[in-house]
Amino acid sequence: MLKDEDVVRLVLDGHSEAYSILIDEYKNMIYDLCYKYTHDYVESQDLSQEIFLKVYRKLHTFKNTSKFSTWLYRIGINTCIDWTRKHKKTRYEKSIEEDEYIGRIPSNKPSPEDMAIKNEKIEIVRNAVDNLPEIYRTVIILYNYKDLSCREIADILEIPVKTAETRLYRAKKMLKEKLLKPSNGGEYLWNVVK
Amino acid sequence: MECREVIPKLDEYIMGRLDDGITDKIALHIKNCQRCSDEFATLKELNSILSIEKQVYPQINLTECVMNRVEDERVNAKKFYFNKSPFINLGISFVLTGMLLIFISIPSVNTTITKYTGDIVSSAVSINSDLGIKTNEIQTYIKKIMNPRGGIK
Repeated sequence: MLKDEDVVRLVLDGHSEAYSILIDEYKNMIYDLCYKYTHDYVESQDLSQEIFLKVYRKLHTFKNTSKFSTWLYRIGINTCIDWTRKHKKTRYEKSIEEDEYIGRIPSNKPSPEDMAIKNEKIEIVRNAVDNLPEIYRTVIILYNYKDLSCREIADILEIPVKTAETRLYRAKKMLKEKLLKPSNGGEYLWNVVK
Repeated sequence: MECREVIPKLDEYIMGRLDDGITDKIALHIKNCQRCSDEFATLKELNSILSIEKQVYPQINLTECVMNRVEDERVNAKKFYFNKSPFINLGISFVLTGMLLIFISIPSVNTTITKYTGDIVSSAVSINSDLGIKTNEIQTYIKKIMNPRGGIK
């Protein structure tokens, strides 16, 4: 099987059709990353296309000093952050129902009530994560949703590992305040929705 | 290990992303430290809450859509560079004109150009004089053809 770096070489040598190998390999990863920022399927599709096109244009600048996936993540995150800045006004207004999230979650047909509770929980989590400052939000997305280690996050964001660890720690502290802090009735906000 | 070393690594400890050596040290520390033990429990709960967001997948045609756009881009890149922007056209024209002027102003080039210009002028004069004779002859022939009896001038 061809390594990513070999495919990149092929594309740069004029075999542009080989680029589809890289797209097929990473489209799930990039699409999911976009979704974690946009919470919208159509926007994620457009944004994913934008990212892959950007990567194609910049392919000649890729150096083998890092993994292709790391480089791809870096471009992906920067594009998603740009998107977030452009759409800041509508960032917190989207509801899960509007987003047709229900139809996309693989499940063994839970009851409507269970679904409603689950959606409410998802919305609470999304609001908490979306309202974090950008640097912390990115770390949470990469660490908790993309299953990357602090070392990998540090490589992607081009920061020291210790900085990645600190950002993760601070992000979790903020999330604890939002999700595990007792709400008005003295219950945790998370536990209220049960 | 001390608390300040353990706490930043607790998250990766929960996820099982640390080396065996550090994992053992943290496990030992948590056993003996109430504060870190509480932190460990809270983080575990938080990670479980965050895991409610699941992976989503793109439409099947994503690769095709990107490849179509890549192909368009490739075709457009082959087009003549000057067509891209009028500002680029203008800029390149200025640069080329400037380079030509500099080239002409080099003394040796200038002398050569003057010499060849002189040659071209003298050649043109000699051709003209040759043509002059031939033109007269042609005019005579034309007159004879058009007016064989010499009535028309």
